[in-house]
Amino acid sequence: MAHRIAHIDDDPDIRRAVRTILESEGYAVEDYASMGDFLKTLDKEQQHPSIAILDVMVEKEDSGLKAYDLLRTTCPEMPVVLLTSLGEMIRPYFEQEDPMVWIVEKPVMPEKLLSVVRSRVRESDSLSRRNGADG
Amino acid sequence: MPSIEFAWKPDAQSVTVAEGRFPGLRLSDTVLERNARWFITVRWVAVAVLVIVQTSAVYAGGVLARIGISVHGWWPASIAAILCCSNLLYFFSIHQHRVRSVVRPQANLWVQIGVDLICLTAVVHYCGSVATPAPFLYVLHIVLSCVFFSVRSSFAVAFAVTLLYLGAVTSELVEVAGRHNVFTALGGPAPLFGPAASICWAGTLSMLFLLVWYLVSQLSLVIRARETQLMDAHEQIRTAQEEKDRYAVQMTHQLKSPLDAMRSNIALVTGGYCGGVSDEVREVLARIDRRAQGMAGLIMDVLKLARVRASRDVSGLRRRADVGALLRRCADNLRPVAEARRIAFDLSVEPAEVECVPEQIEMLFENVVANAVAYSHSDQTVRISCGIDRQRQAVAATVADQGIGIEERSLPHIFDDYFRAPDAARHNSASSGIGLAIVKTVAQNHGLSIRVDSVHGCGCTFTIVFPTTGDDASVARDSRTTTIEKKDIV
Repeated sequence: MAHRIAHIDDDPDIRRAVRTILESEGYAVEDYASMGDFLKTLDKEQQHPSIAILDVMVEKEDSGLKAYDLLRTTCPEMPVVLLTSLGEMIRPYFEQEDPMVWIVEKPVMPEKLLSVVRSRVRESDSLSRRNGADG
Repeated sequence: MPSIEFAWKPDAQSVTVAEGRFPGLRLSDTVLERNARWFITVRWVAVAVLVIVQTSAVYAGGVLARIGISVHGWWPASIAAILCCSNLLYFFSIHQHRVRSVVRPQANLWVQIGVDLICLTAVVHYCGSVATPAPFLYVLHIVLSCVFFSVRSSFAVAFAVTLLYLGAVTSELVEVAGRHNVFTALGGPAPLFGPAASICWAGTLSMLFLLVWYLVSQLSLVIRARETQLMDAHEQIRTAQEEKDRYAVQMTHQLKSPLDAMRSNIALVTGGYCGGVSDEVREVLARIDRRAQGMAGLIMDVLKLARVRASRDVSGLRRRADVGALLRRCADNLRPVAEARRIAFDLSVEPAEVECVPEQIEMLFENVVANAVAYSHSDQTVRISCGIDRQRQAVAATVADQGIGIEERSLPHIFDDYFRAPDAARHNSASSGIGLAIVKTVAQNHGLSIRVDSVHGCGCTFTIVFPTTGDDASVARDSRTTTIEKKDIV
């Protein structure tokens, strides 16, 4: 079964580029234009996506950061990638050397995006296996 | 039909300087406690002086008499004992307030002042209330109360001083208390003033006390008002800077987003996700992408430069960081770009900790290393090293390339905003021209020195020297300009 990847970005070109690249690699992409839509879906679903790719400045200037904080508490097992025009400039908003924070600067470059997504999906799989083994 | 009306008033965001008085400005408990401790410390000096006077009177009375001073009785020792006991009480009271909030510092201060004034009145009486300058010691208490208390409270102190002094003089005039004079005339006790002279002297001094209170309290009021205005202005500046930074981030995002969308679409086409494209189309798209990349880089560099210039005062943000680790991270971040051009990194870094703002230093290194990569030719190596410079007793980081180098006439200008040497512009058209301006600003913020060694056509070496820990602050204050030295590499 294909890994599900949630992508939230208010720019339709970015959403199209990410979908095209990831679907060509066999991932199932669910894209959203707003954080609200994504979070509502998250509440309804039992099975969460394997990873979430968030834009930072969606609707409001820090909605991506707030969504990240929320996901870390409600779905700590879901790896998150922050795909943002500001790149590493948003790093100071996070705790120093937080290994869970993966930041990718736009534009969407296929090799870089795929490399990051593969790593995060591997993490997600190993976390699921560990949780399954623990019962 | 729903409607909404907008109305805007003229901009009311300019810094307002509040004029007016602050008659009841109350100091915080922390400040009052600090003042109380200061009084306790100074009182020990007064105790010491009284003890010396008493000791001299007992053991060197003859010497004192020869110079015209006569101290009778044990009043210095008595007053010293009272002050000593009260000082200890005040000290424990403050300690108890810290532990259990028992007696507030304000009450402590008032008790101190009250006891001090009574003891001082006794000193003035025994020294000579109208025959010696002892009453002028009251002025010190009035001035201190104006500095530490509000206008009303300091007036209460000035009024109390006047009452106590007049009371002392009156009690001597009506012979309730005896009259004293520590100064003696040649051959006998000094003459005492008559009633008219005493009344005149006491009246004049009382007016002087109230005048001193008025002048010092008004001055103190002005100083406190200015301090409050300064704090308000500082807060407004801080808020304005935060707004400016937020605006800069939003503007960067708004300007860069369309470029990112364009480049993402170009990546889709050149990546083969939209079917095959001819080499000519691929070439044109690559050029479009390069120009868009240059524009995006310029936008980000402008934001970075604005941010480092806005945070010149880094004293509160510094922490220990390993320069070697920062260089390694920088190399890791730039490795994909370097490898795409077949440029290798030769890293030789040892741990070396400095006090700095790591994010800014990382930005500095990123720009220097990125330049080394950008201006190298393919199949070359960029050497990155760091360690302790034993000669200079400082941490030094070096980035050396074998690329196009910098012409001697361009060297003095390389840290200017938007400066690009002619060769650099030809070699790397996407450069923003402000990368080294960012390097210079970070170096200024930290008091670093940067040595640039270059031979045109052969390469360039940047050596960044971090001052030793003890010299950080003084170097940052004194060396605001980046030092550039030129040296030919053989």
